[in-house]
Amino acid sequence: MKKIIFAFSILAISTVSCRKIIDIEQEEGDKRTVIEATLLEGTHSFDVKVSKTSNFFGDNTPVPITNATVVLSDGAGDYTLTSFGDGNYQLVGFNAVSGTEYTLTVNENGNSFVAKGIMPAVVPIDTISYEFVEASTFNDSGYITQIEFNDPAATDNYYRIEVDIQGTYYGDIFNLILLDDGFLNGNRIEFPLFAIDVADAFDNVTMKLTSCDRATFTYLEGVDALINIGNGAPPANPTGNFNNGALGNFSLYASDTQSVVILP
Amino acid sequence: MKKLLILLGFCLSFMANAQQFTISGTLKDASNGEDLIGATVKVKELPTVGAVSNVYGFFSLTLEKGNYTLIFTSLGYEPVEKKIQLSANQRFDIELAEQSTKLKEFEVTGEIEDANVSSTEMSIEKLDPKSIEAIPVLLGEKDIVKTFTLMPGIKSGGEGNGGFFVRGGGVDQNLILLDEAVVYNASHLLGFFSVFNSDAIKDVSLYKGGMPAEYGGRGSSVMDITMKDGNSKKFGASGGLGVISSRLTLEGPIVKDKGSFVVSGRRSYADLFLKLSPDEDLRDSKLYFYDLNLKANYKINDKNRVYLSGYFGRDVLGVGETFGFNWGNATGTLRWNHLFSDKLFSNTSLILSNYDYEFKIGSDEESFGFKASILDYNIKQDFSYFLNEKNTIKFGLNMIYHTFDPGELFSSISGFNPINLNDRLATENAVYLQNEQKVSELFSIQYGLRYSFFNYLGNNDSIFDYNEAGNTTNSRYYNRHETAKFYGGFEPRLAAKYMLSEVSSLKASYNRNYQYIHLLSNATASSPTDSWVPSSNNVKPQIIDQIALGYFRNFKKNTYEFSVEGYYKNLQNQIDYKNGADLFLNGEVERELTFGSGIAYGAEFYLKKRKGAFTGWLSYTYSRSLRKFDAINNGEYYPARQDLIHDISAVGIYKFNEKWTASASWVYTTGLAVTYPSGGYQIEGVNVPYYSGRNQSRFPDYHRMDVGVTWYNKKTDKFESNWNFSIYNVYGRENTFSINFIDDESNPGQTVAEQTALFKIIPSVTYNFKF
Repeated sequence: MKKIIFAFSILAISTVSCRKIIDIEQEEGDKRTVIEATLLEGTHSFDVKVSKTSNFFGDNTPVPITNATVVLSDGAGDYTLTSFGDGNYQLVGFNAVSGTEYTLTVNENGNSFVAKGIMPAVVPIDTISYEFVEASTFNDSGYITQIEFNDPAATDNYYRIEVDIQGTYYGDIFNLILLDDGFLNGNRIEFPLFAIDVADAFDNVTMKLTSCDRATFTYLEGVDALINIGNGAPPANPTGNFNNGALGNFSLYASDTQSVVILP
Repeated sequence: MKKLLILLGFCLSFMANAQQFTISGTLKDASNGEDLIGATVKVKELPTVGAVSNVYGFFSLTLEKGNYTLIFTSLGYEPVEKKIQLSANQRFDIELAEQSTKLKEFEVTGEIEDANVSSTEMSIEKLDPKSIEAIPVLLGEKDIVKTFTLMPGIKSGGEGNGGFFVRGGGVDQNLILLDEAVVYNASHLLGFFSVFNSDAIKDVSLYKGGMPAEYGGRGSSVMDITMKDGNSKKFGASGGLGVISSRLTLEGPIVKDKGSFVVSGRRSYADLFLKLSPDEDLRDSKLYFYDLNLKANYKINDKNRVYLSGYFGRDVLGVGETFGFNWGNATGTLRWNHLFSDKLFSNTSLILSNYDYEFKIGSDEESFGFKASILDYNIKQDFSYFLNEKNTIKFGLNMIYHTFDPGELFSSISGFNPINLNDRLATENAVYLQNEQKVSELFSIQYGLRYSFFNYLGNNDSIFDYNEAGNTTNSRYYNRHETAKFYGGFEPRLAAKYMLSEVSSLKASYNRNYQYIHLLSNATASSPTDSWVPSSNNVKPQIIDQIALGYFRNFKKNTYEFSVEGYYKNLQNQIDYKNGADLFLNGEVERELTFGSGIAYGAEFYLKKRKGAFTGWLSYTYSRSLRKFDAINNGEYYPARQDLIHDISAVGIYKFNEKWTASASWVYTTGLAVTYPSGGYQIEGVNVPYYSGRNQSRFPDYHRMDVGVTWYNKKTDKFESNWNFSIYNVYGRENTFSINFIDDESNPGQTVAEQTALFKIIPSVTYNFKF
């Protein structure tokens, strides 16, 4: 899809296009609560960020909410997160288990926001492969990397892929690499990473394959649509899994990481 | 169906009326044998009686036995008078000569000159390519669709936006017919040009409301385009050389006065300039479109005539060897006109429509691509029964078999499973009956009823039901062509006219339209990859009701036309994407849809000067178009993208003499309704925008002036030509194509709005010839 946009922009540039900065009149919208929470499978710190939306033009530094109560529950017990007083909340050394349903409750100035999700199982990376390609319009000469893994047939699976090539990180929210098994269920998936730069010989390549549930995947797609406007839908806030109109998402991630050195 | 037959029998029983005889025949252009559409037959002795030729040039008029003087006339043609003694049915095949180019007042006061006031139809705009010749256009490409957007109630989405909006309706709510075949995507080059080559077109009518019962399938409008039949007198060629494209049309008789053909082609050549580029990839790039229109007709005898017409057009876009993208329409129409009697005219059509697109990325060894299409087979049977001078009855039926190919992903890369989404199948059918009745000298009424029904068919696969959250609630297996969902409904159509005086009238209309297929259009701009989807178990047909009221008044012997029309529309079962929908290669796109309703209303003012050295028009439209979806904007009404509140068009054409004509046009439109951020927050440490509601902001207002001059070479019998010079956007207004929010260079971390405009001043020159 991005290639099409690329071609369209060639068309646009080939006409006599002109750009300039303009002033637009904009009414200030209502302020909404934003909750960003990521629970990782295994034993990790669980971090939650609570804030309010800021201005879009002008000063847009985040407005933290420092007096919220943040509670994680796994059905067996409730765990209250420690507030750092700057909008960040943390639970140290929490062990999140695949298959367990977790509920996150944030109380803030009399408003309550709740999100739930089941921690997915880790899908292990089988191999990282690579292949040399000559330079073309879309890539320099180098090694196109490929992630290979076996998709479990019994479940619908949703993946986010992140790559590190010799210290350069790919797969941040500007360039989300998302994949679902809608058409590939139960297959061995060999996914070439055309969307990122090629690697050079002797580069260290690390890949992270993160499994998430459908709600989080939808949220990530919404984030992608939000950032890369023009790929179809009208601009809109990504739909997260919190009730009561909170922005952000309670993401449950189960990841596997592998590394390889590119040998010519 | 049974009810219709009973009604029909009832109507036919009027036939047994003694001492009446029928005058029928065809009206043609004397110079090239083209059928004249909408030409009139007047009876001097009976000033209120007359007939109008149909799209095939056929007319029929039934009168009492007696002596009459018939006047055959059409706008821009010398009238022909015939004295007759009517004591038997008579046939007249009349050829009318074009009026000499000298601007003289003509004396005949016919229905034709004041058709805007006197005809029953309202909310209709008509154009023929000749009449738009002098209007300045982008890059000298005269364009029917672009000219229509200068009319009240018809709006363009601005540069780079394909399609057009009629009375607050969406792009997909326009039924665009080329010789009866549906054209699914009417834009070239992402909307800069329409696919209709003016050289191949004879006549276009655009119904904004009050559409006759013979039309159906779209909610907002009907654009009915008739292709030229070709010169049946002699061979001829015409064409033009322009900045962006060239055109050539060949036409001539197959058998003189019995049959003719026309072949018309057009190709753009912007990419030829790319060949001059030093960059290899650019040199290998492709960027062009072409159109090919073909038509042939043959008159077997006075009772039978056949036509074959076709259209093929395609846009091709390619970057080097690694990226290719093309899309286009193909249509074909085979028609048979048959006269069962002097009063009963029949047309049978077999029609094919296809639209498809494909793109491919990568080299031959390692590539993947995507293609999708929609294909229709269509059978149409229409009858016109010219009962008497007061009633013209039309009835018919229509059956369409749709095949929607939602997409196929193909690839030569190992590990990449090809994906072929199953075709979706459906049938769309309709029967209709309509009468146009002159109740009195002052009052006439057109009333009709259309019953349409739609079957969403299985294709040896499971069909899923989704709830509002997009989750599957049910699934059932259907065999191929087994009905999975049925919809049907009556579409009443009504139009009435009351003459307030000889020069003014009041008109009213009501129509209901069902729309069973929908374009899932990217809301930021329409693109060739927007996909058509059928109504289904999850998607209900759109139902659109419209009432309109109009006042029509002509001044100074029809030199000036004035009209004002008001309308109100109610739109049910409108479709939009859910927030953050994923559309690409989504086999379950229905999951991503949400359903709501809408209203649209407005007032259109129009003043036109039709005669004299100076001609032109002024139009102003006030209109609103609002939508309401539970899932969007907290369920409150919000402006549709095409909610262009104020719209002004001014067009002036001045003919200095036989050689020089100058023209100018100016348009002003409220900016498109768009969604801007109203705040911001962070995701993974990155600033992202926050949107408080859909379409709550506006692009800057759109306005633009174009000017043109046409110089006509001395015309001889053998050869005529002209040069057209035009300047698009003469005062260089930077109209918004898009707005992006970027980091402020002088103030890092803060966001500013950057506008992109596509065109400033664009001059062009075109040479046209005909021999």
